[in-house]
Amino acid sequence: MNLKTSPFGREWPRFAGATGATILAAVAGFAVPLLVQAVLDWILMDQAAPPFRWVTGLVTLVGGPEVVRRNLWLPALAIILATAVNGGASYFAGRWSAEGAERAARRLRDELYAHLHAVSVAFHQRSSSGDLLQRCTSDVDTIRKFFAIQLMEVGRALAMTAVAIPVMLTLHPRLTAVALVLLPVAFWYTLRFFQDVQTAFTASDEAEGELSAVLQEHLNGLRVVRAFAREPEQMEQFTAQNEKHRRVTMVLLRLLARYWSVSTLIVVVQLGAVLVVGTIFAVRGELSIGALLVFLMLEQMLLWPIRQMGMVLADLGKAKVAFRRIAEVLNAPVEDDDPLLAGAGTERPEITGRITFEDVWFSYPDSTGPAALNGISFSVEVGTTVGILGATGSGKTTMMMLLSRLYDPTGGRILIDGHDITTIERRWLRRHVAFVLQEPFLFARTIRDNISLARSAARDAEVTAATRSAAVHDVIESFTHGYETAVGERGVTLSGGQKQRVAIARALITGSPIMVFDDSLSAVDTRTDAQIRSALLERGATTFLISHRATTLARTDYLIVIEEGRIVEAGPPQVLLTRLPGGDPGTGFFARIWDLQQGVANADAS
Amino acid sequence: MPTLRDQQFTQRFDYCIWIRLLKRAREFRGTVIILAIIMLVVGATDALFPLLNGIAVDRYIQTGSLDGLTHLIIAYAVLAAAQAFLVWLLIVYAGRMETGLMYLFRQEGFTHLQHLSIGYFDRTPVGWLMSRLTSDIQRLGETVAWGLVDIIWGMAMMLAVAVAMVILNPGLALLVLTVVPPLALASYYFQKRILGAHRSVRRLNSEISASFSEGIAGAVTSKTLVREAENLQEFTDLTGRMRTAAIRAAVFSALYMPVVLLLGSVGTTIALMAGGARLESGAVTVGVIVAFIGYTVQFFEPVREVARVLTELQSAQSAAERIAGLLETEPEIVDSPEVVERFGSVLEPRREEWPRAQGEVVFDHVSFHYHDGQPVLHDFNLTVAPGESVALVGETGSGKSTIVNLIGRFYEPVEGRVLIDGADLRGCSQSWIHSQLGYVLQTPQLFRGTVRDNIAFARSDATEAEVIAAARMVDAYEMIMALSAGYDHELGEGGSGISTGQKQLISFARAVLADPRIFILDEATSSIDTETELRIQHAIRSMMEGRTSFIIAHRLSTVRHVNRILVLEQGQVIESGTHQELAAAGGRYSELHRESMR
Repeated sequence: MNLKTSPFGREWPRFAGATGATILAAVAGFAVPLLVQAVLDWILMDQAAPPFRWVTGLVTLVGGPEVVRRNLWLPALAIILATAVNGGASYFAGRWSAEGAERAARRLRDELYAHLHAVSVAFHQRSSSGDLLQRCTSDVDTIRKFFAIQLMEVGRALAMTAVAIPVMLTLHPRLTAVALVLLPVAFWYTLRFFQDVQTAFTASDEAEGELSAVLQEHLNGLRVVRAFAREPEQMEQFTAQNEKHRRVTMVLLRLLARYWSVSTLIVVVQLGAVLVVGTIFAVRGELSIGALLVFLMLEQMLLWPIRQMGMVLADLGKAKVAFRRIAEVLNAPVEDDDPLLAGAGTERPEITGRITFEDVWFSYPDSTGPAALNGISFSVEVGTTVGILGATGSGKTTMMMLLSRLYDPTGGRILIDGHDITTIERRWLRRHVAFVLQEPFLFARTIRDNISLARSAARDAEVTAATRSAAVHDVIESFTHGYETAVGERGVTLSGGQKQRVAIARALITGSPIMVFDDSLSAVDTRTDAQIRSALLERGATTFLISHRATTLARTDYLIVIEEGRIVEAGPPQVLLTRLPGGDPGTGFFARIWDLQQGVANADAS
Repeated sequence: MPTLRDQQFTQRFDYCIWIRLLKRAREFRGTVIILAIIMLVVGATDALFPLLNGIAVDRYIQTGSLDGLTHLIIAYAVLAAAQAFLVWLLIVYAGRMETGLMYLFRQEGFTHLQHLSIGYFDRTPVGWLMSRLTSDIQRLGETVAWGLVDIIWGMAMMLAVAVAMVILNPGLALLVLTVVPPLALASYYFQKRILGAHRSVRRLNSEISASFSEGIAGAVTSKTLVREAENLQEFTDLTGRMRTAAIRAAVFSALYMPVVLLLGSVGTTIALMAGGARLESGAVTVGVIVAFIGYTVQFFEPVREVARVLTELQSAQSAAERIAGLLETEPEIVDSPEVVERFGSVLEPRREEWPRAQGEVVFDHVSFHYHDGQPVLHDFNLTVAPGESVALVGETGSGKSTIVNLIGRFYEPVEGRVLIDGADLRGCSQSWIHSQLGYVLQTPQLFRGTVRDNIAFARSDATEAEVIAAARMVDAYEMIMALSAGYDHELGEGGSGISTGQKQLISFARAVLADPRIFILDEATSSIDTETELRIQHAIRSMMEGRTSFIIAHRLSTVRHVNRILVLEQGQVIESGTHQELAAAGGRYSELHRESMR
């Protein structure tokens, strides 16, 4: 993405229109002081006609200065009309720039959102979610503001300067020099100030962030704080942070106070210079009263935009950085084009659930350590329940991620019903593999919506069938709003076990021929665990169960024990149980775990 | 849930809330007075500048003499210097007030949270409390401090301009001032609209942020569920609404300026026409007209500011209501004044006065419910001797957690008494009770800081040797030494950066260091591999040595070696005894036991 092809670039007609309207507004705005001058000098005080042909032309058009003097409503009408043109043009400038910016911002947000869903899992795992969120929200906003407001400010300042200087020069060249002398100073001072003050702004923001972090940690750990009666120390910590925030923010405010003070001084001195020098010229007869008034009014009209421009240019850097950060996200390759993954895959074969791993190797991108999977081979028939056992980090989850094509193998292949899965379209494949993640993620919506996520057309009966199988129906019914209960911050907080069961129901409702449960029953009590497993059996899907519970694993058809990315044991659990621990490395691993867990159970009983 | 009211916009301005809140900020009375004086002077000074223009015209240009021009220069210079100084002063004072108000309300809020009961936190989401103490208080500070500045300035300037006009020429002044009422009305109308539109933009904006955040956190889930297209559809609807609302807000703002400009130009033409008509008769001088034109240009700004502040105050009212609501929430559990006198308060405990408990726990005819009509415990009786270990077994909702909550006096019984060493908990200091309890949670909660800090969280005066002894006691020493910096290993927010099992062991060491007489364990059921789990089991057993202990058991593996197992169902003890007794009895426990072996 570059600026031209970005949504903002594509809105150029609106921004061009807004710029045109801004210039028109500036021109019409200058008509008012000039009309006032003509009325004062020429009409009311009988002095020389002003040096602007359009003014004298207008007066001649209606019948000369005498007619105008008798009909003062005429110049009044002209002033109001000029203001109306100014106002109308400003309105359209504001409207078009807002439309352009908001339309572009919307498109940019949509593009970002879609892209975040299209990039690989690896992208998400290596990015910090807070940073990503900031790019999608505040960075977009920085650019939006720049186009909606700040660009117009620059346009206005330039247009005003471009119109004001010729007008002033026509009236009195030497006074013009006086009138312009401090403008560059005002501009430069503002620019410098807002560049320098960034660190103070950042410090204040950071102090605020730290304060929030302390507060959040305190609230999350509140029970622990209470349990150890640590309130005084926590109070001290919070007070220190609160104090720091106040101090740092006050430093910023003091800087701002200095800026506004100096800036006010520049403005007032500039106006004073025009007034005093102008008075001298007027007394000498070189300048009319009306012309002096024009100078004063123009000066006021100029000072503000010039200062604003300094501020905008100081902010330009921020907009540039924001744009680059967003482009970085949008330029990340989507899953189907990611060089670290196999190609898109186009086939949509019928999938029943026969799965073969053929010497599958895998290393995580950017990882320098040993490979995550070192030649995994096994094969299971349709409807098999496969147990997977292994220590944390042994490669269990990785294996299952490959099966869903969240990653693709770096060596070997995985076949489903005889098809190499890298030839199958990712979305098609995932529709047939229901994957319950280790840490289930529920969306901030109702429980019903969460369950029917993957099948929005699911009927109530299907939802309850799934929740009954996942042993969570009764729990949901016990909530005041039942299935309509909202999940998350604004609603009910589900326990770990409840979350897991809702996620299981969500997977069951897909009716997929392949199911993966990545330690999805860990927070569920043993009784419910057994209940859910027997419900799963009835479905006849090829099921993978990752678990640490020996009793759970013992009920599977086929058990795979992996260690450091290698299968060390595989077979029906009953067979594995008969192997003696302590033979070859890995042999009897399951038997040992079984003994350990049952040993805990029986040690004290005996 | 009384506190969960969402962003409501109260239409009517309610003085009471503001007064109630600002009463807490009495210390700023002096600052307010100084600010008011500054702003009055600033407003009046602003009104003087057009007057100087008029004087320049009449005194010098019209007379054609530069005599006394130095007076004008001096007057101008003095005004300029005064204005610059006053602007500096006002920002410093307003800033002091803004940051001071935020500081004050955050301190008060945080202090108040320390006194609220656990029940309050069980009902109130963390995010809700966060918003009160961060954004709402920020809003309050900004609105009050800068609103005060702007409104006093606006009023002062309007008054000064009106007075200056009347002094210059009463007749002309009356004519020109007829523009003010429509200007005020239009300003109020538009400011209200603009604010309303901005509010919906803000709301949509936070929805968009939430969607992004969810999209990022749930990216893998969306992929596995093949939800990308539907998610995007929903998101596009949202951004579409945002676009419409944002353009609407911008259009209101774009419309307001022309209206103000137009009304201002009407004022200018009135000054010009009416002034011009009176010029010949000599009732008005050119200088007066010049000054009046200056005023008509200047007038709309204070009107706009006053209108803006009034509407902003109205919309900040909901923030004020929520802050007042939080600060005025009464704690459900309060120590009596006598107890506070003797043992100190939550924030100023007198630890030296605290006796050491023996560890006897008694439930004496205790009844309890969280919500009316849904009893959790009814006439519950239990006596646990010092040093005895008790396991609570039962389904979710059977009352296990409640019993533990009552021992910690996180809640109080509706009827009956809970006693430690024969003393009714109602008459004990909460901090003392908590200090006698070792509490290990299902999900270990650690804090940002080193491993050592986290263990010493239990007792800030603990020596290095004590910390290490505690770690050794729970078999965490090797694990800690294996971390890159050992005891100095820095943990992230909430203890992030190490595994759940490691966190658990550190939280055990922390509990051991506190050396409590009563030990409560809400047993973990998280995903931990067998080796780690064995270690944890071992640690738990060494912690229970010689202490009265309560275990909320989710798996039965932990409970076999306790002195007594209580099987609970709907708040009643249905079985009680040792593992062997119950397993052999053929009741509910043996059924559960069999299931766990299946």
